[in-house]
Amino acid sequence: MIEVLNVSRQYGSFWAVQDLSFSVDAGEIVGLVGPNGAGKTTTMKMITGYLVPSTGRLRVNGIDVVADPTAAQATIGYLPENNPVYPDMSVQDYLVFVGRMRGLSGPVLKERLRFAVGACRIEDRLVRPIATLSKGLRQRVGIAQAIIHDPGILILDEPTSGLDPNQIVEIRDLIRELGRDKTVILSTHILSEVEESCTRALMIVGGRLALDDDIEDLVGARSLLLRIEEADGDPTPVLAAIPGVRSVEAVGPRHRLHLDDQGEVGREVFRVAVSEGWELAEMSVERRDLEDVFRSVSRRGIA
Amino acid sequence: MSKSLVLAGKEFRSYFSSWLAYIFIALFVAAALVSFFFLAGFFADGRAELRGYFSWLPLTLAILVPGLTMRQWAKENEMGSIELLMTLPAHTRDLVLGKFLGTMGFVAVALLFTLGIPITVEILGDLDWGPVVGGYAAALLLGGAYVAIGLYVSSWFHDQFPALLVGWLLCGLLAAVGHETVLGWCEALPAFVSRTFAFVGFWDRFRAIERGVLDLRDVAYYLSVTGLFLYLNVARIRTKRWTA
Repeated sequence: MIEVLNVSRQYGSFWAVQDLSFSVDAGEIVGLVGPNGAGKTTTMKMITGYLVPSTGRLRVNGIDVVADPTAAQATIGYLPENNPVYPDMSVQDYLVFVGRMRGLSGPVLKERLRFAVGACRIEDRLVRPIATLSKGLRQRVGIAQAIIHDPGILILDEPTSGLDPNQIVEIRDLIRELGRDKTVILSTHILSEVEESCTRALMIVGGRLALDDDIEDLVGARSLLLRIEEADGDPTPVLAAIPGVRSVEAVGPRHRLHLDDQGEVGREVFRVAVSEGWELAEMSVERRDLEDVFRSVSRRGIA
Repeated sequence: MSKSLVLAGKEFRSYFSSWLAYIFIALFVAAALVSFFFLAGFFADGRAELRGYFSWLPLTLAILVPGLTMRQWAKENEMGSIELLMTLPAHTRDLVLGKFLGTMGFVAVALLFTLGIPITVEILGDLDWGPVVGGYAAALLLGGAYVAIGLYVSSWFHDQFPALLVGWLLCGLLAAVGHETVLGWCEALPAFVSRTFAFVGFWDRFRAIERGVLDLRDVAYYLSVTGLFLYLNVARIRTKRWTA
């Protein structure tokens, strides 16, 4: 559980974050999105206790981050931006170091090390110096470091930046897997990533919260596009009578059905087509594009 | 406390992961040998004492230590790993203490390598080990003060090289102002200047241990300098949470 209450942060005369409030419940995977320099990283640095907010309060699992940073930090796993590591250390030495600094030792440390290394699939790189690893592997080491103490909360700042498409897919899968029993906040400026990995999107523009919505509500199926051939007469009134269809719009040879919500409308359309004797040449579900949503919000600025 | 030991262990080991560590130790031992056998005239004096070796330590340590401390915070700042350290559930004082102890461990190892000198003297003649033990204890105290200064300097930089230069400057100044030559220059000035220099400087103070007595006032002075700079270091790292 993370609570951000009216938090602002100033660098000199520049306000990186302004009056930001949101809360994240246990088990959510939240994507923090927004253009570069919007205040995503600053927000994460404040949640993890690295930076102190200029005003406002932050609570992690009920612990005030400013008043008791070490207690809050003990419950958080953090992958900072650009994944800083100690390149001279071997993967194992590095993970053991972080584990010990987090108070693990003996068989517990061994067990946690085995888990983290297994989850991130870096078992066969343990003795390699981190400097010799590819960027994708290094990122896995950074994530292994963040989960070594089995934190309830994971804060990942741009976990996939600079990776190639294959590596991105791997890291996404890993995050989804970890998100099954952890609260995750990740930041990104790749919108499809939010759609792939997250249950909720928070958009920050100019240091302010511009959008806070469930992914399903944002991108759920909103319309069906049909191409009907061999219809006797205009199919529009028949289509409009299908339960769940709000309105029908003719788009050239096609019809677009605007839906109330994602129900079993597609099946019903099939049934009607068969009984009316139409030939259904095409039917596609139109999802709203996250990119469009964000672009319109960005342009609009602060709601 | 246990966290500072974990960090100390990591920093201590990481010195040895680079060949620079061995060059440092070799240089340190070479400097000790040169200062002992030649500069201090061990052969000319013909006495079984370690005077010469210890009397040059304020200078050799002032050169060696900033080379060890330069990277400690500067590299964390440069690589961004400072953020990793500061988001681990450890107090800032534990982080500073860890880096201090880790570096002190390396200084102790370097000093250990010079034990060959007293052992040689013991073989050549009859060495009084009392002053030697006192001398090594004082060398550790002196080294501690330099390490604390060097660490504090390092925390101001994102680059190791300026940290080295400023470290040399500060440690060198502290050693030099207590030197008899500098004190001689001050004779024309009001008396409090040379008294202050003699009090602040490490050189004259360190000569006291050559007599074989570890003066409590000297011990207190080294410890105060160490404590002051460790405190400043903690304060400096803490303010990063507001200014970074």
